[in-house]
Amino acid sequence: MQLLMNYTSTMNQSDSSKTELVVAAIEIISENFGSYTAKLYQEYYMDKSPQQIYESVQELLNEVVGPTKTAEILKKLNNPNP
Amino acid sequence: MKNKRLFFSLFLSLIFLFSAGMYYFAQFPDWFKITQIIYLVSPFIAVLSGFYLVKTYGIGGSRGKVFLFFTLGLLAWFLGDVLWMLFSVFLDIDPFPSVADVVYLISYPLLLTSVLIEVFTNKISWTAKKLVPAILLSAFLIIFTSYYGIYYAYSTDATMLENIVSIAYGVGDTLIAVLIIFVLMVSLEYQKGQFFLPWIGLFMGMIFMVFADILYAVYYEPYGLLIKTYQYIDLLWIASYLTFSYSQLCIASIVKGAQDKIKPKK
Repeated sequence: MQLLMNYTSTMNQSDSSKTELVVAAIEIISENFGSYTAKLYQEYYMDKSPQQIYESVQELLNEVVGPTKTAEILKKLNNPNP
Repeated sequence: MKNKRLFFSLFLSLIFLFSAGMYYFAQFPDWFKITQIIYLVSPFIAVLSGFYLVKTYGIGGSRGKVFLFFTLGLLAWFLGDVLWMLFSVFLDIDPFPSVADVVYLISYPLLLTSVLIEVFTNKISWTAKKLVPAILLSAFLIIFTSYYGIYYAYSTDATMLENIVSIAYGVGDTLIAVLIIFVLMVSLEYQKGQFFLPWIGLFMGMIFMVFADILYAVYYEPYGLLIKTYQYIDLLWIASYLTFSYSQLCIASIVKGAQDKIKPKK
């Protein structure tokens, strides 16, 4: 949670949709890959576009938790290009 | 990733084959000390691989906590084994009942906590297709553990303390039999994903553990008299610890893989 609060405080208000996406993405990564991995991805997503963030999470999950679980988890994440 | 998995499975299989070979060639009771020292290698590896996985996940998230409690449960089993060996092999004291049993029994609430955190975090989809075989398997194990571990464990010749400790093990094993259903459900959530195999490994490890405990409860006397055939029960416990180690190392390597993906290449 602290991780998410730190991240949101560093984001500009104009980036609110990206912020929401990143917060959700970091939460998903933290749940599945642990807090240490989430921290690494938090920094990595700083300069990535919403589409790149979405695809990165999708790719990670597909490999590790499988397609069924991925589809279920990704419902939390709004696809920037549906 | 596949190379690492292959390495882990080869390394742990070699340890199992070496342990099995030592038990096969051992002359009991003369080699009892040696087999007991060899036995301790497997829980020690399980504890080390558990802490490595916790470090890889990080302690902050729920997954880190799942494996922290799981590893603490393994640590309790390892310390129980060390104390049991110290009393029986080096101090020549009857280890049952003793402080070793208290340490062993601590592991059950730790494992329960671990699995419960996982179940609440994972948001399992409880479909009938997954649930029915899991319940059937679990019910089969519960009947065995409650009969042999609780009902059969009571002895009119034993002291009250001995009976309480014996039955506590039975209750603990019945609890694991219930937890198995959850571990299987979590495993099935990961079908076609890299987490599937390691979680099936955790499930298999628990099955080995429960079967070893049941056999120990049934053949407690010949096992205690160091009759060779019954010493092979130890191999089921060893298999259980090594399967846990394999799963933990695989999960750690998958998580490391996710971390390495975004690390700048040197």
